[in-house]
Amino acid sequence: MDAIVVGAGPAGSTAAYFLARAGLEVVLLERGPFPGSKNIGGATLFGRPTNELFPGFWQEAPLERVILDVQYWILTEDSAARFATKSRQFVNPPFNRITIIRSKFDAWLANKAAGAGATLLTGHKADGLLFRGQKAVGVRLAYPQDGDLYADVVILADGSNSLLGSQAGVIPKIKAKDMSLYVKETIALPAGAIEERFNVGPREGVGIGLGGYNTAGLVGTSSLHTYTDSVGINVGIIVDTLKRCGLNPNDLLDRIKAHPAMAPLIAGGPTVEYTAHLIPDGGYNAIPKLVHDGILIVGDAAGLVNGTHGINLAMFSGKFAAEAVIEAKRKKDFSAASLSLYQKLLDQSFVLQDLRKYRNVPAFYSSHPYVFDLYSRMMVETALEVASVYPIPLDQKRRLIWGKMKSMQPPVRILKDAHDAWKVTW
Amino acid sequence: MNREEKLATDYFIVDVVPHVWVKDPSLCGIRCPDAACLKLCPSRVFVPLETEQGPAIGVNYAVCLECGACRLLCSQDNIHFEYPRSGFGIVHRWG
Repeated sequence: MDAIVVGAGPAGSTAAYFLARAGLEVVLLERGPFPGSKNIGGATLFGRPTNELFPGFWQEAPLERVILDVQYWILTEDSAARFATKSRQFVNPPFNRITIIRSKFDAWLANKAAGAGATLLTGHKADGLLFRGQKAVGVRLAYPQDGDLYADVVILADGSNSLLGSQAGVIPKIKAKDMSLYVKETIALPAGAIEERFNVGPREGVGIGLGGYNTAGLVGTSSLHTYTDSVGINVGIIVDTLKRCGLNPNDLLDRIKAHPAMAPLIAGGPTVEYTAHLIPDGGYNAIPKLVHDGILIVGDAAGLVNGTHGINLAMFSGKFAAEAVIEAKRKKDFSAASLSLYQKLLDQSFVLQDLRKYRNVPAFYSSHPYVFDLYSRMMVETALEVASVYPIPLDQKRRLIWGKMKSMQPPVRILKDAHDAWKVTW
Repeated sequence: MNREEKLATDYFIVDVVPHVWVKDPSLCGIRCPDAACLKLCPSRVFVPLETEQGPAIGVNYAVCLECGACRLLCSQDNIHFEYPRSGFGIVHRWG
C-alpha cells in the first residue's frame, strides 16, 4: 500500500482524494462510525480556496446557507456595538463564505475521496504507529480489528489532540497555553424564523463574530452561525486561561445565550446538540516538525489554524501532503528529506505565510491579556456616547467622550498598546 | 437548559471500557492544588466523591465529549485520556 491517512476530516480526506486521484493505493481511517461524527466547526467554509481544490464543489457539497452578511459584534453586559457588511456580491458561486454542518460536509468530502478510489474504513481507530528503525511503516489498528496495516507513508490527520503523534514522539506534548477549548450548542429553529430574525432570504445566512462580553473579556473567540434550520453558538478560550480563572466553558456559553442582544435570536429554539473540542491556538511557534521519515502531519494535528480559520488550511495541507507523497513514490524514497516537498509547498502558500507573519500574536495576547476586555469596553462606551443625545453642546460631548476614554486607559498606554499590536501584525 | 439537559440531547454509544481515568487517585483530594478537572470539564465528567479513604474523583466517562482538555489541564499530569474504542463515544449529528 502507498499511504495510510489517519483521520477523515478536511485534511485527511483531501489528502486521500488527491492521492487516490493520482492512482495511488490509499486507505483512509476514521475512528468514528462515519466521517464527521467526531468533528466540530463554527463552521464557515471559504468558497474561493475550496473551489481551487474542488472546482464546482457547491453543486455537490452539502452546504447550509450562503453568508451574505458578515458581522462583528462587540458586547458588554447590556449593550452591543455591531459592524456588518451585507452585500449581494456574496451571492454568486463559488461564494465568499458558506455555513456547513461538519457531520454532513466531512462525510461528503470523505466519500469524495472514496469515489476517487481511496479505501475509506470507518470504525477503525489507529492505536499506534509502526516503525522500522526510524521510519514509520504503518499503523496498529485497535479493537475490534486488532491488526497491523503497512504502507510507505502515514499521513497523520487525527486532529488537534493528536495522541498518535505524541505517543510516537513526533509531536511534543501539547501545552495548555497553545490550545483553546471550544464548546458549542446547536439550536433548532425553523428556516422561516431564521430568515425573519436575521433578515435574510432562503438559503442565505449570517456569520457573526462576537467579542468582549462573550469571552468574559478573556483572550478567545465566540461566534454565531445560521444553518438551514438551526443556529450554532460557540465560545472558545485558551485552556491555560480557563484554568487560571477556574471558569467552566459551559457557564460562559449559558451567559452568552442570556445576553439581551443574543437571547431574542435563539428564543424558543431547543438545543439539539452540545459539543466540545480543542483547537490549536499557539500559532506558528507551536507548530511541530511536520515531516519525518515516512510521516507527514497535516491539518489540526499540525497546528495549522490561523485565528479560528482552519478548514481551508487543513484542506490545502492535505493537498500538499498528497503532492509530496506522489513525488516521493516517483522517486521511491519516503525519507524525511524526500517528503520535505510538503514543507516547501506549505512554506510557499498562504497557509504558512500568514501563520509565520503573525507568529508573535499569541505572545502579544499573553503579555497583554487585558486588551480584549479593555478595548472592547472602550469601543462600546464610545459607540454608546456617539449614539446618545444630551442637552449639551457637541464640543462638551466630545470632551466627555475623551474624558471617559482617558479614565479607562491613559493615552500613553493606548499608544503603547497600539504600537505593540502594530509590531506583531505588520 | 442546564448541562444535564444539554447532555441528554447528545448521542453517545457508551463503551464498557473506560477511556478516561485518574492515574493515581492518591494524588487527588487534598493534595491537588486546583482541582481543575472538576471546574473545567465541559460535561463535568469528573465529580468529587467522599470515600472511606477520604475525598476522591469519580470519572463519569459516559458523558465525555472527547475534547481531551483534561489531559492538558491537570496540574499533576494525573489524568489518562485516550479516544474511545472504534465506534464508541459521542456521535455528532450536527457537529
